[in-house]
Amino acid sequence: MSLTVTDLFFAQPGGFTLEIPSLTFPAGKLTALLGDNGGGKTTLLRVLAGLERGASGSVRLDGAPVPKRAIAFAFQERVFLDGSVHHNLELALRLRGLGAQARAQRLAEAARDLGVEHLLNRDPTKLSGGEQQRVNLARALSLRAPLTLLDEPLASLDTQTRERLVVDLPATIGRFARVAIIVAHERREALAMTEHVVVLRGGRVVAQGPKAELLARPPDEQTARALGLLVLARGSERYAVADHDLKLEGGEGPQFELRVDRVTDFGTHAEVVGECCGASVTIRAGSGRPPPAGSLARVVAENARRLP
Amino acid sequence: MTELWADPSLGEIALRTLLVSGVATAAAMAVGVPLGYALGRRPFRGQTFLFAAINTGMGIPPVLVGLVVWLLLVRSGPFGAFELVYTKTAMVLAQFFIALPVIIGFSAASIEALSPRLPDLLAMLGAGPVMRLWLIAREARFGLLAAVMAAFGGVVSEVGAAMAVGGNLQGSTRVLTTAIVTETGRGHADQALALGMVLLVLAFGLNLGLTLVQQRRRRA
Repeated sequence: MSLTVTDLFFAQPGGFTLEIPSLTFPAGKLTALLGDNGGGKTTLLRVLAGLERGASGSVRLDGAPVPKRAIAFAFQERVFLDGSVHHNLELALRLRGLGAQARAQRLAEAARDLGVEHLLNRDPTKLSGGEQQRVNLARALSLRAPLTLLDEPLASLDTQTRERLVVDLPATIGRFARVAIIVAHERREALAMTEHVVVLRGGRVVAQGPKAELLARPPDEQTARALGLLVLARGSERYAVADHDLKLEGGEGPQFELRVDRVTDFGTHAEVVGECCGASVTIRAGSGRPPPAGSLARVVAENARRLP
Repeated sequence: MTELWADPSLGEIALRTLLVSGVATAAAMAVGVPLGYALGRRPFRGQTFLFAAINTGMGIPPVLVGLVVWLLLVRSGPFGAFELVYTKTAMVLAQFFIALPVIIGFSAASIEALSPRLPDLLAMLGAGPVMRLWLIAREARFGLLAAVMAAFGGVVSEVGAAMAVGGNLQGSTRVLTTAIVTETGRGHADQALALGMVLLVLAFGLNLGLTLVQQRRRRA
């Protein structure tokens, strides 16, 4: 049981087309929708939410058409109605036809989960970007929709809240959503929150599958980049590697040349910033002396995956 | 002047003025706000042309609108069978067409100023078309109140259309503006001025009420 997309086609007035013959979002797992800017991530979310009229094809949740009331969408652009945070959260639940008691309970729960209880009487348009984003998320999550779509849910949030939500959000969403899809610019966080990945490029799905499988065997260079991996070339061979797997000392794997741009000594450790096969990399130096700025050094790529 | 205040027809004329212009403005709101919503919601091909047409409509002389409505309603006209010419209904109809472009223009401008994502949010939350329009109108209420004030101010003070389709019949279609013209024609300048004051007081009272609502909500 899952969300299935079949023969989806949507053409935007600017010439961009979204064309997906077949795509499955598994139930019970969070899916990260990754890809470059303009790849169609937000457009796909809007089509799934039924907000794009010209789209053709079928979108089915557990084999049946998705009713509007089964969808929650936290938009990237935070939109609020005139009134307090409480009014905005309450109205969303009222439009979903919930009774007074259920509304009060859902509202209190969502406000607590997102830490906006103290903001309930405030005007949302006068809150900071991070506070607005938490209200935006609280509104979407309070709907407890079987299909929950979050477009850049961690944007504008402070580091502490982001770190907390990376852990808490999957658990909160998992309580009610059959299928949840997250678009996040910060790939690391998107991957940390999800188990399944779909990569879009130019309006087409170029890769989909369990996160662990795709990371272990990225099908091509662009998918590897979409997954946040570095692509390093050695002769005709290309490797995908996570930046934390680049080592200046020890380790086993293919070796690459690094041009050191600068070295920052943090006392406890040093960080070497430089260019490796055309990519800008930051490598945490080991216990040995780091190479000086301007020099050429060798780096070892551990766990490197050779690209087909 | 004292005779005027004692004249029982004054209250009747003032009430008729409020009724005709009030109904025309309300009807123009009912039609014009949805049209303004459609015009201002999102950019589309031909939007600029329509905006220009609406802006032109705001400046059309009321007497011209009155003339067209008269030609439509007069016995030999296409709607002559309804025998509406020289009735309050005809006056409402003429004032409706004078108010309509004002309401559409103001509504479209105030709806255009809202977030373009607002309709998406309301659709996603499950609001039906009527509820969506109501909530969007609520968001744009400052602009819509301004639309009511501008439209009512325009129709209550016009004389050309009221004269053309109403005929200024005593006890039937005479309103404050046409009464002013009549008294001026009779050389009763003081009575005409007094009627003008009544018109001003009515218009000011309504605008004061609407402005108070507008400002109170803005401060809230």
